[in-house]
Amino acid sequence: MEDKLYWYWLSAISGISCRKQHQLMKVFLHPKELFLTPSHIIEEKITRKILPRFLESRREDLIQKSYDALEKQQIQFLLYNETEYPRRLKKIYDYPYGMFRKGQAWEEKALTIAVVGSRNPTAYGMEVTKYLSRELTKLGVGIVSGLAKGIDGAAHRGACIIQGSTVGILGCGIDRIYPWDNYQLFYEMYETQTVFSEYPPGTAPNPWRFPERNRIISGMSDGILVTEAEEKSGSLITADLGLEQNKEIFAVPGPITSKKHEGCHGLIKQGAKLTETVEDILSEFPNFTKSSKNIRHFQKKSLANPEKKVYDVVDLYPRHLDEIAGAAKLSFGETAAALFYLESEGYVKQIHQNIYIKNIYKG
Amino acid sequence: MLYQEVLSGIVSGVEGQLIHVEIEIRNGLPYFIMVGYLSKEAAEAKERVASAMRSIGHPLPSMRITVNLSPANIRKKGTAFDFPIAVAFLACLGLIPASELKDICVLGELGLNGRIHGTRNCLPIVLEAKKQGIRRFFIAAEDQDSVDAIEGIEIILMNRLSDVLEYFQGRKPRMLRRKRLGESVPEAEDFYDMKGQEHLKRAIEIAVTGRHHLLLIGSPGSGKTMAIKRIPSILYPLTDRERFEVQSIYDASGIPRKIADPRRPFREPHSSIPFTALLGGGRDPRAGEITLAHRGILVLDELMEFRRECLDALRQPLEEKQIQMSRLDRNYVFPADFQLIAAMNPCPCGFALEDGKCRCSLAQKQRYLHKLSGPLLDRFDMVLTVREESEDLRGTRETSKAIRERIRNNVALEHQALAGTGYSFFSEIKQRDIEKIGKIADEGMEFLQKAYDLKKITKRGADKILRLAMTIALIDGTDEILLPHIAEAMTFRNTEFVREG
Repeated sequence: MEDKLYWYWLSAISGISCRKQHQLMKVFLHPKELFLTPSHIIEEKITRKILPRFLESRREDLIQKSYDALEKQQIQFLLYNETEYPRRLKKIYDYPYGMFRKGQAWEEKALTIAVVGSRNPTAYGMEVTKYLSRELTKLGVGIVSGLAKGIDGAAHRGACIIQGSTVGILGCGIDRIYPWDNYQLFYEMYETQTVFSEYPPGTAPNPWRFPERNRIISGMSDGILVTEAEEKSGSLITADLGLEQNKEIFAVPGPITSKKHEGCHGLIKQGAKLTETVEDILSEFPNFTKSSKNIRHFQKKSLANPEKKVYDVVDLYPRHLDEIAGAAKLSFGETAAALFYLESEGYVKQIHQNIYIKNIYKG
Repeated sequence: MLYQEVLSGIVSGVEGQLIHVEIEIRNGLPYFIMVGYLSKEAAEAKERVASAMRSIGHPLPSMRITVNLSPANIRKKGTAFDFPIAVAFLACLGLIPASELKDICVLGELGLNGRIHGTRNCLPIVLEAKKQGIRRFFIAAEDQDSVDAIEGIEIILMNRLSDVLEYFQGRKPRMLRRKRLGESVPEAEDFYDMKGQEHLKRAIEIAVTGRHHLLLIGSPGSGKTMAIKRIPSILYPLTDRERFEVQSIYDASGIPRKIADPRRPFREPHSSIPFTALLGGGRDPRAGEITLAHRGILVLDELMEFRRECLDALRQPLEEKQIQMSRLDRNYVFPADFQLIAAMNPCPCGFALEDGKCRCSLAQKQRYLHKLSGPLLDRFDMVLTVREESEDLRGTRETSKAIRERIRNNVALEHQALAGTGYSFFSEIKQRDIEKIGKIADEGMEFLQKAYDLKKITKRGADKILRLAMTIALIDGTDEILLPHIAEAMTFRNTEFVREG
């Protein structure tokens, strides 16, 4: 059997956890040794629970078959010593020996930022995430996230404008689309971006895999930006892991009354950098030489009345036509006409029927 | 041989139908038979008539008697035939002049002692007979309430069978004193209780004025149900003609309602309602909720909880304003000109409209909304999202009485504007007549064109918007449809309410 296939067997088929793989490799040095070791010796090394599966997995024909099947599904298996394996990831102590990849090859950027947050975000969180991730992308920064519902999806969507600028790390098998909510995004990512997973195809999205996956998100990046997180949020785990791995932590503040931002505020109190603009992030990386001239700032556009009145009332906090008309002191007809104009010009977005938010890119 | 014919009637479906009661008495062994596709209670008339006749001193002759109810191919239900059979006997026996019976319709049930009982559903029959030119009626005094408001006919109230003899002997009959139709009564729930939610209140006023079908999509506790409960308090009263239509349906269905009641039907069936109770049906078809809501409002709160087949079946009656049912003996047509007002949550958890509160997955939302078929959704002229009111409740409020008066005036103006077109409400206008009837300002048309060019609306959507804009212009008191009216109408169009994660 080929050398790489032994590694494939170890990391994908043997059923041994990543941490345990590292321990065993300290002893056996190469998976081939482990593969050929008689079972009575191995019994001492691994727990009884995973032993039967381990013993059964040592079949060359099946390993070969499973490896060949990857190609049909357009999945690449990358070994830690190959050049396409993410460079930054090798620096964490429990890096996976092998990674599965779908989509395009991942070209390492000079600066890579992980953007993570809540799975049930507010419209504010979504818009800010999309905005920051897009602006970073335009400057050539790579965006890492988890392809989850909510903030993760927004981070990827913001970055998708440029090919090869974002990478998604899954907490399940690489062949799975989870969560289904993002299926369109998944196909877009396969087409122009990169998707990674340390789990072999077919692995179910078990809840405990996601915190484990978060170490890869933080491991692949230079800094972690949390755009919206509740007090007990999975994205805080990513931030903690990032701290352990000695990464910079950034957090976007929200209203002090909002439960949805308590996690971010907690991070800021602990020393994370309060982030309003892309510059807040870039200034922490003086070696990143891209000029920051083309960073856009929020700017006031001149609008005529009654559009101006209406526009002043619309916010990143979604507001209903009812509230907008009330605050602008206009009739529903006038408000609706103004909103129609603002929407068709791209100043505002309708996120549900009659519920509007401001478009940060305009005005 | 003696023969006599008397007019009577039955309720079939929700309409009356005239029945000829024929009797023939001839020599032979004493025998009494009733024919004509009778139900059990109708066939039992035999015994009641025999006893009632005996009680007034005119027992049935010991001869061969045949009673036929014609047309004989229609199933006869009900007990309204006792009285006409007895009257026919009286004529056969020469106690009353047969020639005068030709144009009298007789309805009533008999007691063994000769007392005449009401049938509780004679209004549809009386109206049908009136349509066919019958002007004189013998009705049980007990049924007085249901017929006392009909103009142009003579109703003679009878208490006992002997009253018939006295009537023809020239004694002054007890004529019906005609009652005036009653006026509105105040409703318990008033819009004054609702602060804020201006857009919702405005939408309801527009919907009621133009009779547009309305769908409310909103968060739990946002006031959808509260607003719907208050709609009866702003409805304009039924016209006299409508009152009879509605009363006929209720009488035929055996649901208590007084003709003096001017309120429009307001039906709120629970979501667990079976198909036949909503649409109507059964072996002898009975009116469903959609027919009981004729000329009024049908409310379907928690729309998504209703059976899917119920929702899908609503499409045809919504379009045709009636529902047809075919049975063995005939084809029934029930009127169903109702206004549909429905409410639902935007997603299974209910909070999709609230910022960052919804935890439903895309698949869950799609599965939830899948139940609402596109064609049904398309029947709603107005779709409206309702959110939880923000904490400061400084909104204005208005009493239902004030809103009702305004709607009443506007509806009168609406009828005036549509006089001679064959329509009564803006929502009814067919596509080809929209631009003939509505005066649309150029700026309004340009605005609509722009929305169409931007693919915000479809051709069909544009027609809906114009109908709605007519109502809004009327409420705002302008003859011409201006830009703000079209813009406001556009806020009620149905936009996709599932958003990407």
